[in-house]
Amino acid sequence: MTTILEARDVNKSVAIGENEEQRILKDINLQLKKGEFVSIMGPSGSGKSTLLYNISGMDQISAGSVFFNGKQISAFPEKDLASLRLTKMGFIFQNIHLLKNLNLLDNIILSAYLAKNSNRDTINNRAMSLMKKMGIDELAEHNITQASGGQLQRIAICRALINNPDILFGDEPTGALNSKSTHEIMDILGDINATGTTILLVTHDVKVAARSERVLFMMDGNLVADKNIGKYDRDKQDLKARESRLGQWLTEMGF
Amino acid sequence: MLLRMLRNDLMRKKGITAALFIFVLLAALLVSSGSRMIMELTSSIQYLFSESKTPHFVQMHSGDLDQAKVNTWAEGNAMVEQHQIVEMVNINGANLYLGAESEKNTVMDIDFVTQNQQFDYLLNLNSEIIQVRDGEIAVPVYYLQQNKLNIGDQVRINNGAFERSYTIVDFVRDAQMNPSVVHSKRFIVSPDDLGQLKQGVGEMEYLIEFRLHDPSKTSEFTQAYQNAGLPNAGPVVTYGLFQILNGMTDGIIAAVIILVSLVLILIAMLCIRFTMLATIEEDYREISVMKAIGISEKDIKRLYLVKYVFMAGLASILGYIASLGVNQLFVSNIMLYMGKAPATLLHFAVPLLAAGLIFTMVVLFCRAVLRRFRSISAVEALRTGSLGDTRIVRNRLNLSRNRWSSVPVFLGLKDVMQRVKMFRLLLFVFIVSSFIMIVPLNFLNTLQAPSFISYMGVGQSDIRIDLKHTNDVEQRYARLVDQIENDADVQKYSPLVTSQFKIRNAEGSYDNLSVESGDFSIFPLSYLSGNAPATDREIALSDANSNDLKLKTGDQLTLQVGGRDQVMTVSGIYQDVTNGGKTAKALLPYNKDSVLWYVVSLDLKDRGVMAAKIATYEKDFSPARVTDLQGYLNQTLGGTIQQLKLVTTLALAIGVFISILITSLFLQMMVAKDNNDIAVLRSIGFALSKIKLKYVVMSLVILIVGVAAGTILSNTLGPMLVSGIMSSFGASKIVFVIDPVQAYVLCPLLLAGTIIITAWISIQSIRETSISKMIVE
Repeated sequence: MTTILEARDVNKSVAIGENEEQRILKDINLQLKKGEFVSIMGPSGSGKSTLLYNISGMDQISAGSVFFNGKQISAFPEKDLASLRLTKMGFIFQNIHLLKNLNLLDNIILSAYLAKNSNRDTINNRAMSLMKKMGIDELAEHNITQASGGQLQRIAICRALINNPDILFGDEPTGALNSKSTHEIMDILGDINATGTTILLVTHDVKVAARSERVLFMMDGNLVADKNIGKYDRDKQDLKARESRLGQWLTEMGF
Repeated sequence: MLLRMLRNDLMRKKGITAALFIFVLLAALLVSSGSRMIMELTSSIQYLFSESKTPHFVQMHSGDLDQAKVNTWAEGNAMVEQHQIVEMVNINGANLYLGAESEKNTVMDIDFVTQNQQFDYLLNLNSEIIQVRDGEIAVPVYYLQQNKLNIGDQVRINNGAFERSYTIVDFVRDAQMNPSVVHSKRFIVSPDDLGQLKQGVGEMEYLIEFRLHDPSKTSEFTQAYQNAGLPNAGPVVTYGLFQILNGMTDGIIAAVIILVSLVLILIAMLCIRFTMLATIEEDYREISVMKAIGISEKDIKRLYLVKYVFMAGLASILGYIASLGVNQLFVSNIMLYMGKAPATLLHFAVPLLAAGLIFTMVVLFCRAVLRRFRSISAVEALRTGSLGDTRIVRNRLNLSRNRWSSVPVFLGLKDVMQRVKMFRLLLFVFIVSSFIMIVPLNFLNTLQAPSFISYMGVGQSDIRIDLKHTNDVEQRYARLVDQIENDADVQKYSPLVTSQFKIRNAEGSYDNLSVESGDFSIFPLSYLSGNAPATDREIALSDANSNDLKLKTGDQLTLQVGGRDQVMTVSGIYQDVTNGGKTAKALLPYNKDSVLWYVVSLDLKDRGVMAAKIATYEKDFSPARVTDLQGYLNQTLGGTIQQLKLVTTLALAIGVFISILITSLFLQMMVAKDNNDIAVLRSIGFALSKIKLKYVVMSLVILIVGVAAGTILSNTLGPMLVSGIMSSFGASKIVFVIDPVQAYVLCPLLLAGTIIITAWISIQSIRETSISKMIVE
């Protein structure tokens, strides 16, 4: 499998006073293969979200380099990074972050209209098709106040997928959802991964991490462990066992 | 703790605080300067009039004068405190040299006089009574400014037969004839030199002057003089008109300055409201926590108020202090023409009070805005996020149905429509900026347009010939008309003679009325109502006369014509800012015994020969004043036009400056407010340039609406405003002469260009914030 995303000696520091800096990420080295489903776990303040935002190009790293599909994106100017996020990447957030002044359909098609990869009718049809797949097509003309948290997160996933990205990033995508919605969202992400889309999630939830095939463990800005737990097969119905094994491992890691 | 919070808050929002500070400071500076200007103007005029002992009533007279009759009448009249007859030797401009060139193109009546002995003193720049010796001369301040003369320069009179040179030893402040709109100027020479001039050159004119025991009885006195059959071959001017004429230019400027300061403070208050509400909205959780832990509403308000009180207080004080420094700029014209009156406490107190008023307005306004705190409960504040101004209005503009615009343009438009209340401030600023840029520009164009002559009660012509009163003026007039009739270069001409008629007043006695006689169809005027007289039973009145006599079109008046009463119908009302605005027109034979002036206006077939034609008629009919229309307007309105050019330039600069400042302030606040949405857009792939474009589109949409509304207002409210100012000078309905390129293309383009640049620069802060930080927050 080809490497889609690679971090080499990535460091990130932030200023915490006039002359003081704090290192949030310390010499991170990792590779993601195309089609992998990876979770990042660790205690609060370990640098999970920081790692996600820095290796996705959302933020600038302080040292090291990041490669996406073989290109060093850590050296890209802002315009090229924006183009990358538009056409090759998708993002979903814990707080969903839809635009409140647009209806739900418009939120989905916004980035596709900007990318101009297809004509607008085609984009609209694709959006409706995604919504139908997620069982929310009747919400197209609704505003964000007229949908539940689970429904909104599905809208966010549609938005993230509208331009057929190579990779999907998620920062605690189920953090604000109840268990039923969490389950539904993870099923959807599993289906997306099955089509070949690489997924990298940050989560503190073992149930969510157990759905992935590989778990990265962070502690105090260091990537301390990288465990392959095997692809999750929904038909095998062994989620509980996977959660248990993962939980045990995390305990050994000190989580 | 308050001081610490104040310091922290000031540091947190430096840009916005600085912008508000500048606005309040400018408003305080301008209102202090404007009010000081009015104080200086009124006190300077009063001081000049007091020191010079200005007459209350002046009858100008040309021709023979029975001085004994005047003296006898004056001594027997109980209203008269003092009287005198001032002899003036009128010098043709063509014979007067204030440098290398003669004043042949001047519209001014140049009169040489000696210093008066009883009153109507002509003062120098130190407000002292001027005394000159033989060979010396004192020159009006008007020429100091226009011709840039200095003490020691030479003034020469040369008409071929008579030549004399005088050394300038002083400059004259003349309470009667200071301003450029008064077309007479007095030069002071010694009695011996005047005697030589009387014999050698020039025609005699007289000022029959009176000071009254009770100045409030001037109207009664005027009537008495007119009924006494005394010399009246010239206009009458009274004390009140002297005051208006002296105060006109600077008074208008002061009024404009104060108006601009009020506009600035209104904008400042709108900005304060916007920033206060935005701050309250940002801090609503903190406010709710403070309420929940028991801090009283009064104390919470104090925390927010302290910043604005401090800022407004400091800005008002500094604005007042700054006004002391720039004072000279605004009052330089007053100081030159009228001199400086001794300062009183009021000179310092009134501007200080005016600045204090600005401070009070800001504080009261802030308190009114902070009443919103009452509606924030500890619990509700945690739930609600909006205070109304920033609430989104749903609309039907959907991206999925949009086919015609790019995404950033669509988002910009949608944002404006959904948050329309929030854009009120920006819209108001653009409307006001367009208004204050376009109105002075249109007014300036109007003043400079040849058609402005219509507000001076005359039609538009190429050349105007004014015959000075001489003993043979009737014959010269007949010769002039004859020569023009036979001049092949002349396309058309109109001889007009103004003479005094008697008009019956409400009490049954008679007042004087200056009536112009001739054919008014050749160079027609535009009328406020009605038309020019068409028969010898019709009369047109100037607007000022119409108001004075309380007569409108269709009303009747009684005029003495040929010794008998004749009823005349008012055919129309026109505007006239000359001669106190009090003139009339009728198709009547003029009164030969009381002619005031002879004028012939003419149009040439070929304007290329204008200069030569002017020279010819000047030479053939000396002493005659022959001017082209533009030259006439320039000399009459030159001073006002210069001042207005300054005001127009300032207004353009202020309009652009305000727009830049408020746009910058507004966009910075919007970007801060939209932090989260901007982060979301960036996270899904919007480049910074696309996001900036959205804000530029928003600014431009508001600008287009603002400029359109401002332009409409400029063309409706603008002329009304200017007419309101000009109505006291005889022109109550000014119609703007608009240069469409300037008003509709250049001004909007100037604003649009500066706004686009400002918007682009102001939203640089988007770059600075990390996306993840914005999203996580």
